[in-house]
Amino acid sequence: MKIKKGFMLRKIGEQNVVVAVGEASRSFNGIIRLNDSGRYLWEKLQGGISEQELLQAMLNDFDIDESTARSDIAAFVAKLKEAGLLE
Amino acid sequence: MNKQTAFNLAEYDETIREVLDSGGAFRIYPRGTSMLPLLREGVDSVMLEKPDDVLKKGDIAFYRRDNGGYVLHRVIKTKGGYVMCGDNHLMLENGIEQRHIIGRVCAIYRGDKQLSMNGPKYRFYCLLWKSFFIRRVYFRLRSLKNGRK
Repeated sequence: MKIKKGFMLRKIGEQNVVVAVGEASRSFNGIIRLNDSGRYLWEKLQGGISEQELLQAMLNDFDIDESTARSDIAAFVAKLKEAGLLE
Repeated sequence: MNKQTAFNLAEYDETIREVLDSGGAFRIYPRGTSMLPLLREGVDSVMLEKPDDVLKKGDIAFYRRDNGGYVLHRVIKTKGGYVMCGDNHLMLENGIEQRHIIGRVCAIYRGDKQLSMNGPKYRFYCLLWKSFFIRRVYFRLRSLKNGRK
């Protein structure tokens, strides 16, 4: 799984937002706000990562159980797919 | 993803410029009444892009004044610096130069529908609105109509 080209994460004030640049911004002209866990997942996904690797990373970095991590990832990935942000 | 939130433009300044510099477009929902009757707050929006050249008469420009205020107004004159004026105004603003300009409107959305900037409707509107006499008449009629309510 990988975030499509042309989307960048920026810190604006206190908020994490994703905006489209270049060609991508012609078809996608909203702004996505991410909370801190959204930011974490976004950063991982930007480099390209498998669902299994992402799960492993979350379990290493956060104090959460596997099923919570799985459902968090699934929810986030579903949102990204819905918005057409995944390759 | 159509939820609108009021943004502090100053915080977005850098990001907007970055998007425009990348050859991209940035959509904003203008606030206020200065571009009425064309742009209604909370309803209409515009796409900004970076102009490849100096602005032309009739372009709608997004710029930042020296006092830090962000404005979306129309270019009335281009000789010796820009002269700007909102469509809902009669007073001209002098002293705007290229360095103040952030972007130019490349698309207008009236509600969800795109208004073609090359289409007859928009071109006719621009032609009418060039005339400050017509603006005056329109403002007068509008205030009469609102006064009667």
